[in-house]
Amino acid sequence: MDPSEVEFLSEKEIVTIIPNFSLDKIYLIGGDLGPFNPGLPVEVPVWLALNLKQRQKCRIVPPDWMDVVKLEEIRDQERKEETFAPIPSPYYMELTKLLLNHASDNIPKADEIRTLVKDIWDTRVAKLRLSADSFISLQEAHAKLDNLTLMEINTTRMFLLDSLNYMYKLRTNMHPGSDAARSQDY
Amino acid sequence: MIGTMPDTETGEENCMEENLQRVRKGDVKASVHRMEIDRIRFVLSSYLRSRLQKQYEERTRIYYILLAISQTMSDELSEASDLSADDNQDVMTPAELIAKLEEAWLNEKFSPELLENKSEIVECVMEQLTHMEENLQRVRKGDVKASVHRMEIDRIRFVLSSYLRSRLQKIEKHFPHILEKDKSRAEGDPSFLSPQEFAFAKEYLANTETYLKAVALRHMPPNLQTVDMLKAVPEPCLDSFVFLRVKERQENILVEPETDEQREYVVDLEEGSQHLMRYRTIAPLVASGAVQLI
Repeated sequence: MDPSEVEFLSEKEIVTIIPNFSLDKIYLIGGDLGPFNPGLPVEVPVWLALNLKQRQKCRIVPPDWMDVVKLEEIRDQERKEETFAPIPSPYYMELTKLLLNHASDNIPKADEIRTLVKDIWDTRVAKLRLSADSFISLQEAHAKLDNLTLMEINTTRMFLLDSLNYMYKLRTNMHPGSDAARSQDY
Repeated sequence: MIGTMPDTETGEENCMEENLQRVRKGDVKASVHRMEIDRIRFVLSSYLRSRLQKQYEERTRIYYILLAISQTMSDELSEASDLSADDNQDVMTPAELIAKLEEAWLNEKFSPELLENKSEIVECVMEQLTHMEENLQRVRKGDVKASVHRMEIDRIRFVLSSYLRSRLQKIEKHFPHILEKDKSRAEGDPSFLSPQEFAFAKEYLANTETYLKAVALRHMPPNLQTVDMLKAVPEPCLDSFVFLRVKERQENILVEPETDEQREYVVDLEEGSQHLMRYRTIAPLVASGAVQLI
């Protein structure tokens, strides 16, 4: 899966915006939005929020978790624990990136948040690599991956799955004639 | 989705009533309401069609129960009243429809084999899109609302075409096996391929064979002039690992060992948990919708 597709999925998350225009309710296929009144917060999907922001028609209210104190807590917990700690949003990385790139003027301490999220990401991806390594060396057949986000899975998907498949192929081909070996024959 | 509807009955009914209240109150918003009504009407009719094919008996049974409800509907919807019997008990809202499409998209993207075709969903989404586009043509240019609608349409269209494209890619990759599977399915079972996909696979097979013949095979010695497509093209590798998220709790899923020294064991899949395991083990759960590939 392409990272841009993960980003695409994250864009349907809901954020609050404060519009500076007024508009009736919009009846979208995916649900109703609005009504929009200047100064009154309203919830919209991220894709619309970014579009309105680019046209300078709104101010984006950063999500609760996008806050230096909260992120520091999360980072510390992530570093402390060996397993993946719960994360405030399943799309934290994508949303941070999108919102900071397009609406950094609406987010207090944008630079600090960027660094913190990057720290959290690095810690988690390091854990992911470690566990992928032990998964392969122990030749496990099942792993539980709670709290892992789609983007994190996606960074390792191709590499991990392909190597597992190749190893499986090599292993089954050691017993020629087995049914599994034949189906792997390419 | 047809089996699950009796539960959703009241929800759909409320939803419809809400719609009607909106319809009654506005004349300024009349055009928006018309769009909304058209959308509802479209859902009704497309579901009637699919259900007529499948479950005629159950349809008529629930029809009589829901006829009473549909009679209370406003005049604007009266011509659709007999369809609403279906709508009320098995139809998702358009938002749920889109969510279903996204699920199907991800499952198709990550599963090594071709999954059952969701032509019902695809058709509904297509009709939604065409309909919304028709409505948008009547709107004057530069309307803010129209641009939002257009953006949403583009997003849905992207998912839809990505879904269909990934199916076609799989067909191209494994076409002889897919056709073989389609041939061997039991009489009356629904095909994994939509009619268009079936035509595509057939044509692809014929074209590949012609191509191989024209380019190489006819120059070969006579005893080497045939190619067994089933052996020449790789089978889908059902033993690949997949990432998945559990939507309905499952117990006692057998995990086969990787090596001979290990023993097989069972795991319970808790709702909401995420796992990495072989596709073969959980393939039936993907088909039933109990797990979502991620």
